[in-house]
Amino acid sequence: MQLDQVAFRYRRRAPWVLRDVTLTVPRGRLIEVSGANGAGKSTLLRLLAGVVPPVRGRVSGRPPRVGYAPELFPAAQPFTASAYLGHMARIRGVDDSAVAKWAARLGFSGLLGTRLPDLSKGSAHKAGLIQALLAEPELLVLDEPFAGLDAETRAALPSLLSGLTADGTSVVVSDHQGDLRKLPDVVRWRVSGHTVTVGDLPDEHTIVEVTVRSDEADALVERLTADGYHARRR
Amino acid sequence: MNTDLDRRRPPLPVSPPPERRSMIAVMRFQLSGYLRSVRALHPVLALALLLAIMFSSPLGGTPAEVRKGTVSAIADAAVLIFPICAWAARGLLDTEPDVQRHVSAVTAGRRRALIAGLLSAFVFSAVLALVAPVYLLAQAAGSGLNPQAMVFGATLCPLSALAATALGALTSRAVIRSTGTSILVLLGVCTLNLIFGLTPLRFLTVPMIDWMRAAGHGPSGLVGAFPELAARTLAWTAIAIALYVRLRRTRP
Repeated sequence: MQLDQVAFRYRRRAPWVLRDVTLTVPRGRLIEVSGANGAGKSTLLRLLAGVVPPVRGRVSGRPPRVGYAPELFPAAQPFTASAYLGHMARIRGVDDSAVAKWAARLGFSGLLGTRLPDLSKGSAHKAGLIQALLAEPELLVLDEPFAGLDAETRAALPSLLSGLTADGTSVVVSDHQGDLRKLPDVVRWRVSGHTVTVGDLPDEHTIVEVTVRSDEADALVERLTADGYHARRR
Repeated sequence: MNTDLDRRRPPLPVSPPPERRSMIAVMRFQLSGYLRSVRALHPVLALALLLAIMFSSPLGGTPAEVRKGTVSAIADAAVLIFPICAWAARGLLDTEPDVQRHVSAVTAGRRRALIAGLLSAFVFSAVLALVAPVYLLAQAAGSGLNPQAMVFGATLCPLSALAATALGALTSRAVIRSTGTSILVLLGVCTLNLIFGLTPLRFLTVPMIDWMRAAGHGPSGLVGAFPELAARTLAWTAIAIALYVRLRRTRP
């Protein structure tokens, strides 16, 4: 899956939330998205999951089965957890047994009969994770999945996600709390300055934008690289 | 014995393709969420109130007078249910919390979730629109109204519901965030529609004033004007839905 020169804003004439985002989502890898509050992490995740199309640029190669768990599960709905997840399973075209399977794995089985508005914040969050996992997604997008989870599930989630990546699922996770820091082979994306950079950016580094004539761009990149900076042309 | 029964059993219906099954599943989810909330009661009560007022004085006179009276009353009903159906459509689409709308867009696909929302809203509005003129249609049939006028009369309310669904969608929370503004736009469009209908700008409107005028001339008036009025209503709806789809691109 590939994002090419993607830009997004929510209203015409509103400031761009993201610009010039060019990324490849590697298959079967865990990707951790970091960035300050309001940097555009959730918007990036919505673009990846297909909640919104880009205003400019192109998203290509999104797999057919995508799971998406929002940061805050919308618990104000007139269903029991079981009825809600049953609806989600039918929309996905998967068997109801998938609900029981994932509920058992996330320690949610005892809560299936509870009405969504009566669930605690952490339990509602689990319902959000279960609906995202139902269809064995090839791309799983989780917005702050560790927030509000009980200690047991929080400890179990990284290995559950590693298991999915081993099966070929690309997992994109925004994580404030650093629960994924311990896992090996995590791809890191950093959202800042309305764009996304790949790799870790140490605290003592920052990004400088330079506007230059098109025919001078390559020479400048070469010169900066020769001086020891990491420079690239957009 | 079992074998005999099996032989007589009709063939199992072919199950719909996965895309349609998923669309139906989204509609069931949206409609069931709406019907479980008290929001669904608002338009139902408004319709009950409207019908009680409309039918408080029964139609009477010769069969010809009854035919003319019922056709005219059906057109009035089609106009009066327009804001109720728009309200119902808006209420149905707003029942799904914003974040659930995002989840549904990923679960079902953005386009399918959007179409399912419009269809669910129309299904509910259409039920209201089919109930509204039932008594009038029964009276018209009893007075010997010709079949063509019956069909056109019966179609008028669902046509109104169709245009109202588009207005309800345009004023739903996904498009207009503020509740105050969205109610203002919904009622404003209903009012301007009637005011513009009296002026040369009536080509911009759902032709409700023209429905009432045509039906005021009796069954033959409605039959003569119906094709043009239906085409204008469908065109208005198509433009409104195209605008809704366009606006929803960046309003998930």
